[in-house]
Amino acid sequence: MLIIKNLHAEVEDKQILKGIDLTVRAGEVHAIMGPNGSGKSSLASVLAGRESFHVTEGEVLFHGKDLLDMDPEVRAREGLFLAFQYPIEIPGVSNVNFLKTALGEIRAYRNLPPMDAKDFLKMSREKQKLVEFDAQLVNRSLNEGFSGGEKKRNEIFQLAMLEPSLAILDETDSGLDIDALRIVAQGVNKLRSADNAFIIITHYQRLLEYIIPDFVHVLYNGRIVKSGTKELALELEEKGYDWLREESREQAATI
Amino acid sequence: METGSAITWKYPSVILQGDNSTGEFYSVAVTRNKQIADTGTKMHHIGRNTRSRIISKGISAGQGQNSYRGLVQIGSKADDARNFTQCDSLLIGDQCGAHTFPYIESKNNTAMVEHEATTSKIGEDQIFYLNQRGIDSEKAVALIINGYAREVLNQLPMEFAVEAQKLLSITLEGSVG
Amino acid sequence: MTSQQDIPLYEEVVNHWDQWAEFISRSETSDLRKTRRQAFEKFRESGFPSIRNEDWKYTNITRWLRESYAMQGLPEEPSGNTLSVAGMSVSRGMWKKGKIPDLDCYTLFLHNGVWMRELGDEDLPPGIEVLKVSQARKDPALSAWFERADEKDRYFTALNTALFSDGLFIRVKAGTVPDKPLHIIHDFTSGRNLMVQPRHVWVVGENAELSVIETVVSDSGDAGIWINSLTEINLNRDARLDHVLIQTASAGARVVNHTTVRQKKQSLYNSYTFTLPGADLVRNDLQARLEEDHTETHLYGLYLTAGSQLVDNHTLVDHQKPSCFSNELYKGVLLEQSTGVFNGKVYVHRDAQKTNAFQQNNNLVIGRKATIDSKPELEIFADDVKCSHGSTVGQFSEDALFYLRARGIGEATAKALLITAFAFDVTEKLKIGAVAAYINQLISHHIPVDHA
Repeated sequence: MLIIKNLHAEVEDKQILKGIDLTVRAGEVHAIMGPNGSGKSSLASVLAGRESFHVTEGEVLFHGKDLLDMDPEVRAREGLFLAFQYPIEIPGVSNVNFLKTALGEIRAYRNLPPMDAKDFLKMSREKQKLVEFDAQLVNRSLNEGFSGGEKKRNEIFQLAMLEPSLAILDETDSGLDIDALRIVAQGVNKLRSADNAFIIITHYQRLLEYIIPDFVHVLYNGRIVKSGTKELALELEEKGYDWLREESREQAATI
Repeated sequence: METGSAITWKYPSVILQGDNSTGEFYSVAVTRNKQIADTGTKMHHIGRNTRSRIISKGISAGQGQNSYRGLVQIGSKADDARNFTQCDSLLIGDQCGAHTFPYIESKNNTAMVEHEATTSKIGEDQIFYLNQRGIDSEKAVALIINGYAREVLNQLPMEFAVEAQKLLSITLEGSVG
Repeated sequence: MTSQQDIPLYEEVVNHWDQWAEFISRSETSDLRKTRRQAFEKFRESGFPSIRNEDWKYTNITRWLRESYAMQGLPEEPSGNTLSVAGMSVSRGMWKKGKIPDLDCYTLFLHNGVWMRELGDEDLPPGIEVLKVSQARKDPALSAWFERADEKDRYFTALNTALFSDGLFIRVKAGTVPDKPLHIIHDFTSGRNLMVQPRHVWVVGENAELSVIETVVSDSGDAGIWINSLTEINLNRDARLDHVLIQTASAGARVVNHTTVRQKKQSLYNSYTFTLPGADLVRNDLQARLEEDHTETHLYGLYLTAGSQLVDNHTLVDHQKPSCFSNELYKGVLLEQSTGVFNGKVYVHRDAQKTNAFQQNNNLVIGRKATIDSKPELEIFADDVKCSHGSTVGQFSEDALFYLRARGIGEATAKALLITAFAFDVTEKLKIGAVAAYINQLISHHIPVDHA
C-alpha cells in the first residue's frame, strides 16, 4: 500500500530525514520508535504533506500513485489519515459540521453519493461507542475546551468516521493516562482489518502492549537503523536509546 | 455588513427611551488587503427595565484592520438596565489586526452590564488540519468563517442570510495562502 | 521590614537560630546548610507577613501570631519517632477520622509531619519509593531536592526551609503506573501551642503516573497548632499526577500550606483542593511552574467557610514556555461571619506563545456577615495567546429558590440543594468515586439547616 524509497527531507534548512526505506502492506501495523529529535514526527508531517517540509530526494508511492505530488487534502481523500500529536482547536466549527464536510469531500472524490443525515447520525453514534466518546463533546467546537486526553480520543473518533486505508498515529499516547490509553488502543484494535494499515509513532513502548505491531522500526538520526518484531520494542524500553547510539557507532566503525 | 471600501466608519445609535424597551445590534465587519474598518455602536439606556444586546464580529484578513468601539450608556433614571456585549475578532494570517474599545458609562447602580471579548486566529496549522481531513483550503476558510459569523447571520431573514453568506465567501476568496 | 514586635515566635527563631540550625543540620551536606542559612537570612529580614505586604493584604494573621508557640523538631520539642501507648491510641483515633470509606488505596499516616509506618500500609508497589525526609535530607544523593530555594522566598517559605526537619519524600520510577492511589493522612495533635513545619518532596519519573489524596486532620484542644507546610512536586516529561487535598483541620489549627509544582514537557497536573469548616486559618499558596512546552494543568478548588474562619486561596500559574494549557476553577461558599480570599495570578512570559489559560472564581455569600475578596491577576507578555478570567460574587438566585419552593421544597432544603448544585462543577471533576462520595458527604454535613 505504501512504499517509501530513499526519502530525504529537510525543514528550515535542516536535514531531518536522511534516507528512509519502508514498505507497508494492507493488514499490517508498523510501529516507529526513536529518541527525541530522530525524525519521527517529521516523517508523519512529510507523508501528510505539510508545506514547511521539503523533500530533497526519494519517492513515496501510495496505492501505486505518487504521493509527494498530491496536495494534503488529496492525500486525505486517497485514504491517508494523520492523528496529530497536538490536535488543533478550531472554534466556531462544530465537531459534527466538520466531519460531515470532510466525509462529503472524501465521498465525492470516490464518486460516492453524499451520506444522508440519518445515516450520518447512525454512523456517528456507532463510532462514538468505539472510543467511548461523550455525546456532548460531539456537538462542541472542534477540539475547543477539550482536555489533552479528549483531543486524542477525538482524533480516533475521526479516524473511525473517515475510514482511511492508511492511518498514521503521531505519538497518540503522549498525555494520556492509563485509562484513556486503553480506550484509544481498544478503538484502534476494533478498526484494524485486512484492508487497512497503521503506522504507530511512539516514544514509549506501553502503547504497543495494547496495539500489538507486526513490525517495529527504530528511527535514529533520520534513518531506520533497526527493524524487528514486537520484542524489539521491549528491548528498547529496557536498554534505552543509548544502546542504539552505541550500536550505530560500532556499525559505522566497521564500514 | 461591511465588505468593501478602503475606510469605513459606521456608528449606528440606539436610544432606549421607553420603559421596557429593547435594542439589539448584530454586525459582521470584514476587512482584507489594506482596508480599515472602524465600527461601533452606541446604546443609550434611558427608560426603566431596558435591555440591549450587541453582538459584533470582525474578520480581518491580509493587512486589514478592524476596530470596534462600543458605548453603553446607562442614564441615572435607567433602573434595572441590562446589557450584554460580545465583540469577537477573527484574524486570518499574521498581518492583520483587531482592536476593541469598550466604553461603559453607568450612572445607575442597579444596572447589570456584561462584556465579553475574544480573539481567534486562523493560521497555517488550522488550515493544514482541515486539509488533512480532505477539505481543501478554500472550503476550510469558508467553513471557519461561516461557523464564526453564524450567530449574526442567524438573525437575518432567510433571503438576506443567503446573500450575506455568498458575499462573505466572495470577499474572502483567496485570502489564505 | 515589617515590625515584628509582639510576635514572640520571631524573636525565638532569631535568637535561637544558630543553636537550632546546629541541631537540625547535623549530618547534612554543606550545600544544604548553606541553603538553610540563606533562607534564615531572608526570614530574618522579612519576618512574618502583615497586611502591609501585597500578598497578605486581605489576610490578617496578627491575632494568631501574637501567641507563643514551641517550635517542633528542636531540642526543646523533639519530634519523637516513638509514641507512648496513649499517644498511639490517640493517633489511631485520628487515623480513623481521616480515613475515607470504601477507598481502595495505600495509606501513609503522618503524626506532626513524621511518618508512622506502623499505622498504614507497609507494602508499597514496586516503583514507588517513600522515605522520611529526616532520612532523605541527610543522604548526599538526595539532598539536592531540598536546595531548590527561590530568591523570592520569604516569610513562611523561608522559615520552613531554614528549620524543616521531617516530612515525606516520594519518588515514582519512570514508567510506573501504580494500581491504587496513595492516601496520605496528616494528623496534627498537640496539647499546647506548637508550630510544626513539614517539608515534602515528590518526584514523578518520566511517563509515570501517580494519584495522591491528602487528608489533614487536627486536634489541639484549646491550644493552637500552627502548621507551616511546604510541598515541592517535580513532574518529569510525560508524567501525570492527580492530587486531591482535603483540609478538615479543627479549631485551633492555623494552616499555611505552600505547594510548588514544576512541570516538564507534556506533563499533566490535576489539583483538587477542598477546604471545609474547622480550622481558624487556612492559607493555600499553589504555584504551578510550567517550565517546558505542551503541559496541561487543571486547578480546582472548593472552599466552604463558617464561623469566624479565614480561608485564603492564592494561586499562580506561570506559563514560561509555548503551547501550554491551564484551567482554573475555584468556588467558594461563605457562611456565618467567615472571610474568604481568592487571588489567582496567571503570568504569561514573552516566549509562551500559543498559551491557553482560563481562570474562574465563583462565590456564594450566604452569611450576612461573611465577606469575600476576589482578585484575578493576568499578566500577559506574549501576543498569540488565549486567556480569560472571570470572577463572580452573589447570593442565592431568588428565581431558583422560588422555583424550588413552588414545587413544595422547604426553604432550608432548597438552599442546601442550591449549594450542592453550586459545588457540583468542582466535585464532578473528581475521578475516584469513593473520594467524590466522601467530599459530598462532608459538604452535606456542613450545610446548615438554618441559614445564618
